Amino acid sequence: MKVRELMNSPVHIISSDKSVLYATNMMNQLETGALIVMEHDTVLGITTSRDLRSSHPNRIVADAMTPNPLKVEANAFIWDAMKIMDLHRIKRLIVSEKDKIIGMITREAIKMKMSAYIDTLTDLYRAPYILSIGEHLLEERKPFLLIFIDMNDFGEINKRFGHPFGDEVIKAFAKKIARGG
Amino acid sequence: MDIEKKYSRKATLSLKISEFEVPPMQDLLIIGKKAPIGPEAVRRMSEALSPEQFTLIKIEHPKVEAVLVRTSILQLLDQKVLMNIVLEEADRLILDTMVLRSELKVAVSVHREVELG
Repeated sequence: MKVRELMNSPVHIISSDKSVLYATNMMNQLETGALIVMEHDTVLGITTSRDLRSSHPNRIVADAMTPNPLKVEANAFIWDAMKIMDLHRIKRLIVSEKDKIIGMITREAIKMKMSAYIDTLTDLYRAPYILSIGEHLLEERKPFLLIFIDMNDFGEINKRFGHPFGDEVIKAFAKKIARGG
Repeated sequence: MDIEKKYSRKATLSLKISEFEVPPMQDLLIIGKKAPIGPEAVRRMSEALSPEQFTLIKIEHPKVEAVLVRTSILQLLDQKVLMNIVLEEADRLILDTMVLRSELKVAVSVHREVELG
């Protein structure tokens, strides 16, 4: 899944010399949790409802923002956006397309979406993830390998030892695959 | 018998006029972490009132966020030495919601000995 499909758009912009009080009212009116702080077409930072709550209402937005926000391309995968956020320990990324800001994506939204791509029993990626990666590689005309693993007669384990034991076998096998052997 | 009705509203004005000091921040401003005016606003104010005369120094301190200092003072004193003294003194007075203003004068005394031919 691409960032474009999960981003919040349009983004709302505020100038750095507005007050925290003004920004709070603006966020309430627009029902948004974050604003992009811009000055003369340059992005200075992101201010979130959390930043505003911890700042005096008389302060200017420039003193209540996270400066130098990071950007991600709209056609990047959501797991790549997550990697950037993990690496920099941040919760939001600005989404751009050809140097134009078109949206914002949050860690929360990706996490929720990712849960649909991850199998709860094994913590391995599920079929939609593989499909998404496969489609991308086909679009890019890049060769790739797809390994299909089938556990023969697995039903026998469930029958003989019960489903809870069968689940443990699947988990242990998945762990082995995730480790790479 | 007519009852005379009287009604009036009055206002008394009192003016206290004094000269506005420029710049109003003297030599130092110590900005608390939750102060109503933050470092960037202070920097913009000092640039508007006294361009290129003040330097903003961001600080890692539990109560103080930044210090604005007259740049000429930094010519006389090492920044680290000055900040250590300022923070040591301010720490006893400041709350994180306050902005403190301070005057700072530096007097240099020199004593030299020379060999007499």
